[in-house]
Amino acid sequence: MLIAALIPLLGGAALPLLRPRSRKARTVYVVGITSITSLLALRLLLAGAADVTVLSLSDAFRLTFGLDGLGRVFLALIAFLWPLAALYATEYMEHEDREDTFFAFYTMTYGVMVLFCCARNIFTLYVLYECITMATLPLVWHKRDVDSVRAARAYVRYSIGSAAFAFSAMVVLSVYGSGDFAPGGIALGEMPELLRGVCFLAAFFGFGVKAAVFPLCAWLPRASAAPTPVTALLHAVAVVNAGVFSVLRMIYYIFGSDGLAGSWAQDIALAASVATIIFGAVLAVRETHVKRKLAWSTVSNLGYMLLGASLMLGDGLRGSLLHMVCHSLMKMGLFSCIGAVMVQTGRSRVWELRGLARKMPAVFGFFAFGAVALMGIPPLCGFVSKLALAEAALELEGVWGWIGVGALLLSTVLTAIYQLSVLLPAFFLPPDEGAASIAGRCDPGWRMLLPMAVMAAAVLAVGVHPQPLIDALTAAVGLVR
Amino acid sequence: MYIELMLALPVLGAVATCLAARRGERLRDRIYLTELTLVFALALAGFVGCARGGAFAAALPGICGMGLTFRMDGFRALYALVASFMWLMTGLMSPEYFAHYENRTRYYLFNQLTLLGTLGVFLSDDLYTCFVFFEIMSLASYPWVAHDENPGAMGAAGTYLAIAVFGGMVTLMGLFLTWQRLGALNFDALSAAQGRADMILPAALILVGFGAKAGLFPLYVWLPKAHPVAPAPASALLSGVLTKTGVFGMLLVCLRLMSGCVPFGNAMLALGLITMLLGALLALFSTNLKRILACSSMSQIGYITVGVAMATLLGEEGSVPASGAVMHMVNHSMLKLTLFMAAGVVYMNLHKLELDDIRGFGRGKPALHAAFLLGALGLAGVPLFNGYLGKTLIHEGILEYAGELGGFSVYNVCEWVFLFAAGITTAYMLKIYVALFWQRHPSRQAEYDGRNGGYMNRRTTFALCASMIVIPILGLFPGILEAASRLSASFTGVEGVRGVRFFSLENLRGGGISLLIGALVYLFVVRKLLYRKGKYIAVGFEWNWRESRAARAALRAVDALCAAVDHALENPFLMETVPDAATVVARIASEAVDDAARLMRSTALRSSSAHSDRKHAAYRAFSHVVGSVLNGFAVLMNLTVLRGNPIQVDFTYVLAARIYDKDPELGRATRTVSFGLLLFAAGLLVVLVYLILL
Repeated sequence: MLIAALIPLLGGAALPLLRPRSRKARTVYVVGITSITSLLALRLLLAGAADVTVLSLSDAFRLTFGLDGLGRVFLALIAFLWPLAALYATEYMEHEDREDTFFAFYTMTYGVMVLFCCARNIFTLYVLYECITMATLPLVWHKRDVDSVRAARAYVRYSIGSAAFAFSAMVVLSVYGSGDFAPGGIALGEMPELLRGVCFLAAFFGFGVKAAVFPLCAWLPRASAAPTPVTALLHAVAVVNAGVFSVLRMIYYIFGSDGLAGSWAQDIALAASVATIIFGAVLAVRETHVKRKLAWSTVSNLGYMLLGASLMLGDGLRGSLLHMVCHSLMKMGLFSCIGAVMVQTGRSRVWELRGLARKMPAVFGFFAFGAVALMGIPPLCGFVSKLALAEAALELEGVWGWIGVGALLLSTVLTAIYQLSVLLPAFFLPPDEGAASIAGRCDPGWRMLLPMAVMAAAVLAVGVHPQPLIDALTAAVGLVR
Repeated sequence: MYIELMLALPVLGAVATCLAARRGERLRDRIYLTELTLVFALALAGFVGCARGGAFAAALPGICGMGLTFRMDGFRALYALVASFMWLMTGLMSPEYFAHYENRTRYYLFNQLTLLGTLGVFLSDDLYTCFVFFEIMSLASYPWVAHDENPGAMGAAGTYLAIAVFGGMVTLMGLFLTWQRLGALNFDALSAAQGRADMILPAALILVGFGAKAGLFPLYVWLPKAHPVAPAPASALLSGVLTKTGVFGMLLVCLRLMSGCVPFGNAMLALGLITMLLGALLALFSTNLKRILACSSMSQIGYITVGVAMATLLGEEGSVPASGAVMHMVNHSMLKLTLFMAAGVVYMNLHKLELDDIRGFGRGKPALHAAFLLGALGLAGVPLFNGYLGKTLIHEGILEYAGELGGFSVYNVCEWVFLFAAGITTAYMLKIYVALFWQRHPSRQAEYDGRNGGYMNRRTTFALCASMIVIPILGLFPGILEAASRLSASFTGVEGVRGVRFFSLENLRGGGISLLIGALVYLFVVRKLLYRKGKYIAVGFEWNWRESRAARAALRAVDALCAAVDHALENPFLMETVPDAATVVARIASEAVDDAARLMRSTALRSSSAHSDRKHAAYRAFSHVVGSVLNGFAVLMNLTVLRGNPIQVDFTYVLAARIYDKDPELGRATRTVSFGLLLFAAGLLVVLVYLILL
């Protein structure tokens, strides 16, 4: 397990020292390292791993790594997507500077993420949560223009600032319990009701900042100033899901869904989730920069996952994980397509994409898959996960279940509006003069197309036959009621 | 395996046509037609099997989440047959019709995907499956409407999609409610829940989506826009089959779930009557051939809805109106297939649809004439043609319920509305027929006559003839449709009819009255008011207040209603101001952290110059002391360990330089609210440690 994390960490750090002579050598190196890591992760997933304590500050504060059901789900997702994203990045980054630096941090982040999946207690989780912030920061300001630096500043401000809340929650918890993750929550002894609620909300909003929970979501769209592979993998999949993952850990493995269900703290968490869903979707409709539009859509979709998490039901956890997987597939495909468009044509506003489907049929074909799936049209995978979430919400007796379902449906309509406002003009309107002058087709090379194709295939496969995935998720989180 | 095969064929066909399109158009067209023929053959075989009392069932557990279940029996087999027949007929016409179009492969692709969706809806055995395929169908038919890619088509397609998505979501909400209250979604569970008061809300929600697809008031706005702009084969399918998927859902909800529920039935009756009358009036006042046919579709859906509503009101005794609704569904599909294909023939020759432009085109063209005449006679409900049968039974259903109540009731008024709308149907069909086949074009008549004999190819002629021949056959042998109604009994839950005396004096009188009304309306409204100086006057959405005064008072209400529904979608306050205000509020909330940081920076954490000077002085003293200590340490090291390679750095300068040149970002970071929070957390930690140790 540690080897799997060390390979990308060291391999990434060594990249600026090795200074590969040609692009090809670097491509082979980067893709090779990430693939090996993924293979090791696969072995880890199959064989399992015993807990390893690396560092022990005290009984409450130990760095312990191990793999349980929830961690497995996230690790599998990361391990599947990272090599594909790296492959995509190797072609995309030919258009940017300082490739060595970029790939060094890109690869190192993988190592941090692997360790993050394997965190076994709240202290380890917190430490790696901060490590993720640090490892991805150079990627956000990679372009070094005004927007990127501002985005990076906002990113740090939000992440570190809010993690302080998580930190304080962790400290308070350490007084009452061990902090080791246990399905169904740890024994919190005589922790007062009020303190437990406050502590939970501190952890929810503290870790939730990476999941862009409502009042703390402004950093995510700004961070889309980063190069597209970063947005596609980190700000649609890895980093934001790390936020959701932490929140899931807090709810189902620390505080325990039984202890929180029905409390005022749950009401606040649900309200924040619903607000995230609607707010993200509304701003996605109003945004005209395609990448930021997708980023707002990510905010909305993270709201779905947080909604599933804060339902405090076993089915909610499963729905949340299912949407995490499905959303990762859809959004990574969508961002990859938009990145390809931006690189090939330099266009990024909604009205600039008019008629481009004729020039880039493959890219927009894959884009259509992702967009329609995100709208939740059967038989693609967005429908399945939204349905699972809605079913879980209905299990919650009372008004919150209906508010949740209502928010899901409303945001689905909004999703249709913002996705179709990109998709339909691209297919059905004639291209403007600049685009019409592009001779022939300008689809990108296979290294960019392959990840898109894999995502589209996965979106269809999961949508048509989701049962194996649902069973796997159920088994993975089986112990949680 | 049978149903799976039927559903797999369109998917395979879609892939194959896309691949074959690269090889050549003839191969593509051939594959397309072969596939449609196969689907039709399968549907026919299945129908024959079901007519003998068999049934097919299939289940795909786990697919699409909850698993799909299918069943092919009676009514479902019948509609699978109707749908595949219509697809085949329009498919035969498509190669010629689309000869001058672009993006044909796209049309074929989405055409086949829509076929998949439509068959899936008609063969489904639970609401979930029905919904899944309903959504596929809604989305896949969007490119049909948008096919021309001009502003008119894009606008209509946008409206179509908006209504479809909205309706779909409301239906999904209804599905969730049903699932919560019944714990099952299969059709038998719906029958079992009949009469439950808590199911009215879910039933109404489910109906929204299906009603929107059927073109029911008030969600019909997409229909008069979308049908005229779509290519004619697509219009025929939109009008003949896709609206029927909406009716399918209506049958399910009304006859299975809500049977016998009087308030629900009355609401449906009101909606049906409004749709029927509104559609008929819109058709009467339009001058675009396909628009007239589209509005007429809306009106006919109104008839079917009235039939369904009467069956709901009558409950278990509703076999007459329920059979009428089923018959009129089949009849309307066949009639609109013929009429839209005839309109398509006109359009592919002239590329025009306004009655003034196409006037006289049909003169001397017997096949076209026959097709159109049969369609018009059927639609107007003339005895011996198929439309008469369904309308008669629905009419009888109204009378039956009115008779049950006794005396004079509101249902007697409904009957007269029904007859009046049927009369208007006659009038507008007469209007098209006279214009197209009897009047002469003022300037281009010779050119039109020159095309006689070569205005459509053999395949199109065959398709047109095969479609029109069904109309008199069904009309002359009512036994066929009666058998169909008995077959449908297992689906509708009420018995079919047998041995109805369609041509009794009683029934003929109803038909006669409406034909009379039709003739009067034609003579006094169409010829006197809507035909001036040799030109047809259009009144409707684009109604010009200044020109025609006569019909103004009667139509003001209709127009205002249409405009209100249509313009609600474009209302600036509703669509812009409210979201703007909400966005501002939410933005303020979401930027609160940043604003707080900015506020802190400009107030409590502002770095005054005096303050920073004092800090620098402190830094200088600090760096001097530390530097001196390090210098001393370096001297010591130079004397002992590093004698060969002494350190020659003055640490006081180095440290001072470091501090002055420090990154301004770092300095700013220490002054942010985040840093303050970190310190706060650290302080909290200290306090806690203190408390624990105490």
